Amino acid sequence: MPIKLVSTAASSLAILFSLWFLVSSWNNQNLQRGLQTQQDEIQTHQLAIQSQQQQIQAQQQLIDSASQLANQVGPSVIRDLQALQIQNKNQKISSLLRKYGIEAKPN
Amino acid sequence: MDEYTNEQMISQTQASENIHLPLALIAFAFAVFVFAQISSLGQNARSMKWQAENLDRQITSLADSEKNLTQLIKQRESLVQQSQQVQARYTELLSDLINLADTDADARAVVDKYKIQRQQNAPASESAAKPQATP
Repeated sequence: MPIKLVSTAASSLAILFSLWFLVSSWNNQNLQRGLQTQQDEIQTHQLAIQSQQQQIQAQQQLIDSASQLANQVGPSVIRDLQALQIQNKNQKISSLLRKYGIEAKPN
Repeated sequence: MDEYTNEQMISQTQASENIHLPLALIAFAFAVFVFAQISSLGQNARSMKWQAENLDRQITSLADSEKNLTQLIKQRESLVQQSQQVQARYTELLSDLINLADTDADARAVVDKYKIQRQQNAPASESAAKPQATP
């Protein structure tokens, strides 16, 4: 009789643990799916950030290029044109400068 | 006849008990095995929860970065617009200067001095609008 009881108890325990195992597996699968969703979300954010960084880089290149033109090349060219216009009384250069609102002033 | 029946019943009972012992052992072993699996699943679950918390923090951080970058892009829009205007103005001036250099020696001298040239790989309409100058 006791061996029957032990056998029944062990079988019941095995069944109980099997059910627990199934529930735990299901729970873990849900967690795994959640992690996958989070990783997808991170990837989306990373792509968006990468695109924004490229946009900022393009903006910076444009700003640098314009800054170089406005602060270095442009003023030097204009100064030389003004000097040449005054020295040689060059009417073509004078009209070109006037077109852009620049007056040649002798130093 | 009765003795025979009693002996048969005792024999069946003993056989039944003999079956129950291995069955109990197998069930117990299986229960131990499943419990070990459950324990392992529990550890995995804890690990995944920890990962989920970390990923959550990462998502928050990335969302903040994205927001900051969007703001930065918006902040620089006016500067970019100004730069585009400046560039367009100088590009037009330098383009006119290149055209003038064909007929005017002074203009040619300035173009040569600063090595102002139209972009080679740009299309014709664009190349006129984007001369390159090197001081």
